[in-house]
Amino acid sequence: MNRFALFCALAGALLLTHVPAHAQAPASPAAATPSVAPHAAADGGDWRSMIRKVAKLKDDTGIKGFMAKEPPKYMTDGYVTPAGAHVPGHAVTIIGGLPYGVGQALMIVVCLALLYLAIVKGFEPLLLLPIGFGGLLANMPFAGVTAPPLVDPVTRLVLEPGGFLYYFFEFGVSTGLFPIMIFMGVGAMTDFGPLIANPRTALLGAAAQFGIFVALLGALGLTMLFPEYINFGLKEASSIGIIGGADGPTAIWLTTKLAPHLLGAIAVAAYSYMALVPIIQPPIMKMIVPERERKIVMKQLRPVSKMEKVCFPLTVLLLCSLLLPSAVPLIGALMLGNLCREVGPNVARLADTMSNALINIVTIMLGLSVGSKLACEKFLNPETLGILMLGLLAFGFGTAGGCWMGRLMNKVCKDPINPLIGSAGVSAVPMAARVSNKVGLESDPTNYLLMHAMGPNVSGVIGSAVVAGVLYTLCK
Amino acid sequence: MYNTLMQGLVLLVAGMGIVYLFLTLMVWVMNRFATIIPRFNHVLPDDEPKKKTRKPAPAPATLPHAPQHPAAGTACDADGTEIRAALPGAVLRVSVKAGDPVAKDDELIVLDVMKMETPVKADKAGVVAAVRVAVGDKVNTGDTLILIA
Repeated sequence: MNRFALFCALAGALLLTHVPAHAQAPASPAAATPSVAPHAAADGGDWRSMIRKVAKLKDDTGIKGFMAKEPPKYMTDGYVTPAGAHVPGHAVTIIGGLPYGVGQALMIVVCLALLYLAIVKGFEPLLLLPIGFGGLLANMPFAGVTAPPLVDPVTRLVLEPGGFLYYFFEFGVSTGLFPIMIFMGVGAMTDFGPLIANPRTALLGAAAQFGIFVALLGALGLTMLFPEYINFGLKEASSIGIIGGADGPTAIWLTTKLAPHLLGAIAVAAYSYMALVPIIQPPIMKMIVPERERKIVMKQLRPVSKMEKVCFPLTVLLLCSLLLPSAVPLIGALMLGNLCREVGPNVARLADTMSNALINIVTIMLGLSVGSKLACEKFLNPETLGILMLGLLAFGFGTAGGCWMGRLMNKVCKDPINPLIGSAGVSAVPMAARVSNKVGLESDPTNYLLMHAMGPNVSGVIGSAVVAGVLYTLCK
Repeated sequence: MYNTLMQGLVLLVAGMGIVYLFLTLMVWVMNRFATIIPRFNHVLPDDEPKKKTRKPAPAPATLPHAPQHPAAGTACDADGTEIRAALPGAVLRVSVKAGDPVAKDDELIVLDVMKMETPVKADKAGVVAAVRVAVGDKVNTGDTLILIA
């Protein structure tokens, strides 16, 4: 600190005493006289101007940045993309009228908390770590990792390239590519065998989507109750509701399309609650399912032939395209991955790449890009608090919906169904299935429900993709 | 605002309806196909598992009263009570060796089922007569893991 002050004082003194005002070099190449080559003009050709530049470094440090009042200009004034589209600016206000720099510092604390959850507590570390770190990077003042490129509005020439997180985001998240690619990997990792062996359990996966709509209504209700703090339209409410699908890529896919400004908060809520599934679900399950029904032993699953497993993805894709074309991107990617997995040795390399290398690469870039949307003016507001509450509501009601349906099906169906597997309908593969298994074992230490719970679990993925398609079609 | 809330309600009814409809149809189609597709199993025969259980259980695989439920099934034969695998997975740890006395609910083996540690417990007190698996073995549902006399 001492050295820095000394350096500043020295530079300031040089600036004041030695450099006459008329020796100042042109500020930009555009202002240079035509006779002078732009490079020479920018360099100034003068040792004093270099000193001035060095002295100016002190205005570009993070210390100054955290004290800055104003956000970067591209946020308030808007900018032009290389494609020529004009992105309008928006007013940037932070709660309590804090200066922008302080808001960024607060966001860094939030991101450090996310990193803490990921690293120490092990909450979905594969995703929360890149998200938290992306948020850190995005909130470093002057670093410009999320800044759009500087484009000449007339010629559309890129004067200065943007930050790398800007390109990650534009390439993969704005276009919806990353969630789709993740879905391929999820498909290549998912065994639909338990679902094929006992198709009825797919209805539990449908029932557990109930939470999505409860949170959707909740978001609209909150807007009605606190109109001065919270303002969620139908699009925002749908994006918040989809947290209850407990499926990260689906939530990101839908939110990017309907309410991109909420992306940071929704992704953080979705992944945090997914990590909290083992804590959120058991009390609700025990509340709904009486001890007697928790002990129900289910019929052993029949073995499923390879032919059936290969036909399954094709069947689902065809059904989806016939009934619900808007869900085809997500379901299609899922089923492509699954087909590669089930075909076996001939395409094992593709399935292996999808479920390992590809999904890992995309996870890094997706996490960072989502984290880059953790901007202070979008995160530090009452709406985020609302989103976090509604997300919890969505998970709770999803679990309840599955368990209720499980009890109903157990009454109606011939073969017994343990209602505990209903809670696995909220996707979150395979965490929710493990929770069903664990709660079941608490009541009967010899009753393993894991494989039975995988049926609702994987149909929950299909179910939430279907809901995402429906919401997108109805709300866009 | 009231209007938006009603729109939300319509979304709830329509959305849940469509999800149920879609998945019910899927169930129906799958139930149909479950009777048709197995006839064509010869077109794509099942892959042979690459690695078989190293020490297959010498006891006959089909016992007269095979366990009806998927819990860690037990059955009595000459050597004692068999502890069977309730789920397919890999053996992560073997906590006992032949000759060890065990009490009811003692942990015998830990299976790795879908990346989840699943303990297999003794269902009665006794002495371990034989351990039929080793660490790293892949086991299928119903495979004998341990004999307790």
